[in-house]
Amino acid sequence: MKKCILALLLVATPMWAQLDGFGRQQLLKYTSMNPYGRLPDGRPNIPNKYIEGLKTASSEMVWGPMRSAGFTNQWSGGWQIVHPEIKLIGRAVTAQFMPVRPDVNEIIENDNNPDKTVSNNQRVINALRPGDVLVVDLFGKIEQGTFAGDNLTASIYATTGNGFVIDGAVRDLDGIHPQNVPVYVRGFHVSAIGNVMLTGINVPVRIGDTTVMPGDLVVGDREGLTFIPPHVVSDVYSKAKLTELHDIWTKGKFATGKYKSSELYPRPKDPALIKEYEDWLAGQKKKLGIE
Amino acid sequence: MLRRIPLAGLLVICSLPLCAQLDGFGRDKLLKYTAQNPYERSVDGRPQVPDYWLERLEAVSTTTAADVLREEGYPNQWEDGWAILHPEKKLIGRAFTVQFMPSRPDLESVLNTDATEAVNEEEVPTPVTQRVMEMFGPGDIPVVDVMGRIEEGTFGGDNLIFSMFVATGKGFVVDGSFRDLDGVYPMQTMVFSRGYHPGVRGRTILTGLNTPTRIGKVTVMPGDVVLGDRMGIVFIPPHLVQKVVEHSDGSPLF
Repeated sequence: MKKCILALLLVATPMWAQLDGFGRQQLLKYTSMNPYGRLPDGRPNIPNKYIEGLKTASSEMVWGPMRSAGFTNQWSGGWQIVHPEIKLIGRAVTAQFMPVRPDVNEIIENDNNPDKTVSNNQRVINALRPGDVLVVDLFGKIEQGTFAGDNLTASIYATTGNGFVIDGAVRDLDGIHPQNVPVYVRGFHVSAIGNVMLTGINVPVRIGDTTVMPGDLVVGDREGLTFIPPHVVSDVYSKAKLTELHDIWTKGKFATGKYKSSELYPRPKDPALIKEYEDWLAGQKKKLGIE
Repeated sequence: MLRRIPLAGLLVICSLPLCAQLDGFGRDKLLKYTAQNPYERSVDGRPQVPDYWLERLEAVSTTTAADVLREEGYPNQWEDGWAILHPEKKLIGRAFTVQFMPSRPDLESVLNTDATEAVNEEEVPTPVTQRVMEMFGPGDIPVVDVMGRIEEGTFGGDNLIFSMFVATGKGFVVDGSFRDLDGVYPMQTMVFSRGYHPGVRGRTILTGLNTPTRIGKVTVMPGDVVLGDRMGIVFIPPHLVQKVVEHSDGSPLF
C-alpha cells in the first residue's frame, strides 16, 4: 500500500522534466503516431509480444524494415559492449546530461532535489520500471561521465530486468561484469560522475547519429543499437522474422555442402527448392502468426 | 535598412512556431533559467548585455576570461578545437542558439505540420536554414549545434552567410561546417567551425531556437556573451561579463 502511494506521488510530480520545457504534453505531441497504450509517465507502451519476438533479431534483421519505413538514422554503432552475447531489448527511458553551469543547475536542483538527498543519476534510476532500457546522453564523456558503478548497475538491473546504454562511461567494471547484463558504453573510467547537470528525463536525446524518443524500442546486439519508433514496431517485427527464417533455412541448406552460393542465395533457383523453401516458410509463418 | 522592418516584426515571428523547432522551451523558460541576468532583454527574451561591456571585451583574451570564470565557479565555458577563419580578429556578441538533431520521419511530420500552420499556404515554403537566418539581428552571434558533423552538417554557403553577416554585423559559430569557403573567406569575418564541405546539410531536423545548447564541452545559454579569439571561444554568462572586464582592466588576476 505504502508503495502504491509512493508510486502515485512519483508519477504526479514532474520529476522527469528536470530542466523543464519538454514535458508530458510535448511527449504526447511528438509521439502521437504511437498506436499502443501509454505507461503512467506518458511513454508509448510497446506490447511485450514484440519485445519477446525481437529477442532473436539482429541489427541487420531490423535495418531493412526500418529503411523501408523511412527511418535511416536509427542505428548507432561504435560501442564498448559488456556481454555482447546477451541481447538488449526494451522500452527506452531517456536521460540527458549537459556540462554543468551553476546558474542553470541551481534552478534544476532546487526544482527537482530541494532536500539535496538524491543525486542526479539516482533521480534517473528512480524513473525506471520493469521492461525499460535506460538510454543516457552523457555526450560521450568518459572521465566524470560515469553514470553508474557496480552498485547502481545492480539497482538498474533489479528494476528493469535489463542492461542499459550510456553515451558516456561506467566504473567498477570488475563488479559489473559478473552481473551478466548487457551494458553499452563509450568507455570506462575510475572517476565518479561529476561536472555535469541533469537536463532531461524522457526528452528527445541524441545518441551518436540517432535521435531517440522516450518509449522507442531499443534493440541491441553485438554490432550496435537500433531505436525503433512504436508505430513501425509491428511491421519491423514481421519483416525481421522473415529475414530470420530465410537465414535459418538458407544456412541450413548451405551446411549440407551440396550447393553453390548462387544456387541458394539470395533466393533458391531450382523450382523444387523454391517450393520446398516456400512450403517451409508458410508453415513457419503460420506458427508465428505473421503475414 | 531592411533589418529595421524585421525587428518590428520579430515579436510576431517569435510568437509563432514559424521555424517549428521542438516546442517546450519557450520565453517563460528562458526567463527562468537566465534569471541572474542583470540587464535588459531583447524582444525574444534573451539577456541583452549592453554594447558598453561588449566593447570593453575587445581588450580581453579568452585565457583571461576563462580564468575569471573558473574562479567564479564556471569551469566549463571554454571550447577549443576549431577551424578558425580570420583568427587575427575577435568575435564578440550575444549568442543566438540553434540546435539540430538527426532527422526521423515521425518528428519531422509534426514539425512540418507546425511550420505549415504558421505560414500562408500560398507561399513557397522557405528552407529551414533561411528561416532561421532571417531571425538574427544586429549584434547576434549565431551559435549553431550541428552535432560536429562535417558532411551533411553545413550551415549555409557564401550567399546565405553573407546575408547573415549583413544582418548581424558579426561572424558565427557552427559546431558543424559550412560550404563555399572561397566565397566566404573574402568577407573578412571571423567564423568558428569544425571544417568545410561542398555538400548541403542533410538528415537533420531543427530542434531548438534559443534553447540551452551544447557546444562541445560547454552548455551555451541564449544571450551568453561569445568571446572568440585565435585560441577558442569563451561563452560568458551575462551576470559575469562585468567581472570579466573589470578583472582584466590593467590588473591581471594571474
